Amino acid sequence: MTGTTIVITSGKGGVGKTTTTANLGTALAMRGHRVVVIDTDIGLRNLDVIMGMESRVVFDLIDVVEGKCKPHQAMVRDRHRYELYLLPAAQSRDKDSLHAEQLQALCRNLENEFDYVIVDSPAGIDQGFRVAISAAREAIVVVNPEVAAIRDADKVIGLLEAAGLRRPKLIINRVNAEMVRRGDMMGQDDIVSLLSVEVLGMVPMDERLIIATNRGVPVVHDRKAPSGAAFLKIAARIDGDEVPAPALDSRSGLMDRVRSLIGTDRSAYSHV
Amino acid sequence: MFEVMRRPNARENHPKHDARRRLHDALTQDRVDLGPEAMDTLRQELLAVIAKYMDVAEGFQEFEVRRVEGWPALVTSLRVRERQQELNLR
Repeated sequence: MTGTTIVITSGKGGVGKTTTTANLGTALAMRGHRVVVIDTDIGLRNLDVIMGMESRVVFDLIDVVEGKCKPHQAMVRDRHRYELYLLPAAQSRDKDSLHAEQLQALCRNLENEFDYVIVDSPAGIDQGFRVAISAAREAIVVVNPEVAAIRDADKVIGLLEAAGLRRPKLIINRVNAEMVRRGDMMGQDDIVSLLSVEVLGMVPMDERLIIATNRGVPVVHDRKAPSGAAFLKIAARIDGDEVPAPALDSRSGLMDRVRSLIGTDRSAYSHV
Repeated sequence: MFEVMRRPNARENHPKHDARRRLHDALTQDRVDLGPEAMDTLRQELLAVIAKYMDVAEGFQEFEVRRVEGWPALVTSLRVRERQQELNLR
C-alpha cells in the first residue's frame, strides 16, 4: 500500500488550516481510508484540541524524529474512527527542532501504512512552512475570501510551485453565501481569476463549526452542519470522486443570467 | 425593466470589486516586483514600440501578470488594424 502525503497550508494565519486538516482527515477516514494527520506547528500545538485528543497525547512528533519513541507510540487514535490517527506537535520545543529530511523520512515511512498522510503546516513562509511542505506530494492552500488571505495565498502558491509542488489546489473557507450574492464578498470566480488555481471547494461560514470546535468533535460528524457537508464533498474530490462543481461555476444559461441580473436568482449561491 | 438596465452598473460598485481590483494590482506587483508606476511606463513604452510596426487600433485589451504553468507571465492583448493599404494595392 502506498499512500499520499498532502500538505495543508495558507501563508496567512487564522484562515482555518487546522480545522481543514482535522475535517479532511476525519472525512477521508469516514470514507474508509487509513489516515494520519500530522501537526507540524512546533511550539503551537493545536490539532489535538481541535480533534478532541489533547488529553491522550503522550509523545510527540519531535520525540518520533529524534528516535525517543516509535511513531505508533506517539500517534493518538481517534475515538470515533479507528482508521484515523493524530501525530501531535511538540509544545515545548521550537521550530528548529524539526528538519525537512526527518519529516520526509517519516512521511515516506507512514505512506507504506496509510492511504493519506495529511500535514498541517504552520502559518507563515519561513522555516516551519518549508519543512512542512518538504515531504508533500500534493498541496492544498486554504484561503478566506478577503484581501490579506488571498494575497498571502498567491505568495504561497508561488513558493509551492517553485518547490516542485505543481498545481496546488484551493479551499475557500468561511464563505458567506448571502454576502457573495449581494456582491459584498468575493466569490469563487473572483478568487480563481486572481489566483488561477483549481478550487477543491468552498466551505460556508457556519456557527455549527464553532460549536463542534468547542466540543472537540470535527464538524464532519455533524450531519446538520453546512460546513461539514462541504468538507465531506471536498474529501470526496480529493479521493478522486466526480463531485458536481460548486454552484458559482454553473451559472451559464441565458435565463440564469437574466435571473441574476434582476435579482430573482436567490438560489444560485445557496449550496456553497 | 429599469431594474434590469441599472443592475450591471450597480454591480461594478459592489465592495467585492474594490477588493478584486486592489488585489489584482497588489498581486501583479508581488509577482514581478514592479510598482504600479513602472507597470504604467512599461505599458506605454510597449505600446510605442508596437505602434512602430503595426497600426494600433486602441489601447491594450488585456495587460496583466498572470500565473501560467506555475510561472508569472505577462499576458497582453492588443487590437491592431488590418493592413488596408497592402490589400488595396493587390
